[in-house]
Amino acid sequence: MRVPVAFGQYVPVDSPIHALDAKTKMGLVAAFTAGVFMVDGFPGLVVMALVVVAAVAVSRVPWRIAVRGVRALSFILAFTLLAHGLRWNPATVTLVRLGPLAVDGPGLVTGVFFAARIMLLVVGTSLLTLTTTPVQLTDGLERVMRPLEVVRFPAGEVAMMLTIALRFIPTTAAEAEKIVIAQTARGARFDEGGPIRRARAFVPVLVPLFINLFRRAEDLALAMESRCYRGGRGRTRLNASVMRPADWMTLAFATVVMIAVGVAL
Amino acid sequence: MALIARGLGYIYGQGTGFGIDALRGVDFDLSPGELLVIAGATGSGKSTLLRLLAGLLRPSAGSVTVDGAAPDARSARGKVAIVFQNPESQFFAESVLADVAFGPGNLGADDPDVVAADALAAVGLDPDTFGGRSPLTLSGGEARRAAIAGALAMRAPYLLLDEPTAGLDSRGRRDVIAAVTAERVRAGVAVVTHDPDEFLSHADHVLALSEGAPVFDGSVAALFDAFREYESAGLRLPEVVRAQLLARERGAHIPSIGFEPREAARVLMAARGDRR
Repeated sequence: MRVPVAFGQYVPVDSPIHALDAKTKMGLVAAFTAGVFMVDGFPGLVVMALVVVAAVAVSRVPWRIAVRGVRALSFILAFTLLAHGLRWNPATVTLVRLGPLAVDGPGLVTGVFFAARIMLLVVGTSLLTLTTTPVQLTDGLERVMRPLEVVRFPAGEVAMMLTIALRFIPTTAAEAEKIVIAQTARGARFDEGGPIRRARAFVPVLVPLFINLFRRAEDLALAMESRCYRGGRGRTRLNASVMRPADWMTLAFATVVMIAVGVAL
Repeated sequence: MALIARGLGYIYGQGTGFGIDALRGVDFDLSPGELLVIAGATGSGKSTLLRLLAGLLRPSAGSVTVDGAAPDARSARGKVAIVFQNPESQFFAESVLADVAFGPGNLGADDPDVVAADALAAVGLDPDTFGGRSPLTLSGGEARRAAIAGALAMRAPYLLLDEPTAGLDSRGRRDVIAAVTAERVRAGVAVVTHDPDEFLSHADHVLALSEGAPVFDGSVAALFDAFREYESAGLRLPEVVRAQLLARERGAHIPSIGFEPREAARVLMAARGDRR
């Protein structure tokens, strides 16, 4: 039994986008999101779609992986289309009529607009995690959150928590797989019976999994403490991430373009 | 009726271009009443072999049969019990008895609690004292034995154990070895370990692996005749045994090898007397 991995996992290839600093990419995602929301017509969406297509092409992330996030949203997309397109007993002219239920032309167009916007957002923003390692991402996040330390927000600690949480995902998946195999060897069956029986079958997996996780967390806390971890303050980095001129230029140029597209179209 | 491996091999990630050849050319027969020791250094393919025998992996080459059937066939269900490394990290029930009864309950035993109590007694844990305790309150040796009882309770004709004594103190090891060697009266037992010392005196058959291939395969007596081969796999015999074998290699007359220091001393004294 394999534990499924969610979409958005880092794709280790070399590309100009991979080489950008995590902070640049976060800024780009913010500008892109703002631009997509400011656009209020199809010409703007088409330009944004071209931007996304170009970005995916430059990132050398395989298309199959880049659009995987859309599939997870298929229900929301269908709902968006129907919510805008369907009318109950409309007075005006409609495209298709089935008793009181009708498909409304202008409504459908609005639905397509919103659905396309969601798809662009998903594919565009998922490029951030597809081209940035989790560690780079949390490092960047820590730097971006640092100004909040003025209001006593523990940026370093939050970043450390994120790093550890991400680090433990594969460990936990491996552990779960190990326990599933061990309980299967003792005659446990996870694929028989109705939903309640199936859910109950996972108790012998979840209980040891959580016990072991708590144990590991305590071990880790002790290990960090015995190596004098005292939060983020005063810590220096072995690999400090630096914004190069190329980062600043990309960020400035792309932000201006996206906001301009958003305002103009 | 036996657990039989023929030309068994396994490649991890077969067909991906990054395949790792973990095991090849393993043959053996394990019948109820026998104890097979599978020895090898880290990464020699021991754990892979165990998973193949339990039907948790499908062989890339060769075959495994359990009393004539494939290990993952329906007719083989419950015939092979396996104890993984650190099995005590899989406790989930509120009491030791309930945890041990999990296997027989799944296999549809008439009275899982009675079977579980027997299994606890077999590993030297009194069911009345330990049965009602939470598994999380057991000491290292007790926990390991309770976990082994969970496998014994399946009453399978074949029992496989992966490093059953790893990480235990000497008392815990002694208790586990006693429980495992007692079980062979009923079942065929295969023990996989990188440190087979304590199991050697009980073993019928030793299979030594090095980098996935068998380097020695035979009885313990044969192993003593070919101990250089065995040691070439990065394994070492117990020092007590080794001393006698080295003496024999230099011409001392040693008809049988002692496993205990006292016995070894007697053997060596007798050998010296012979030569005078």
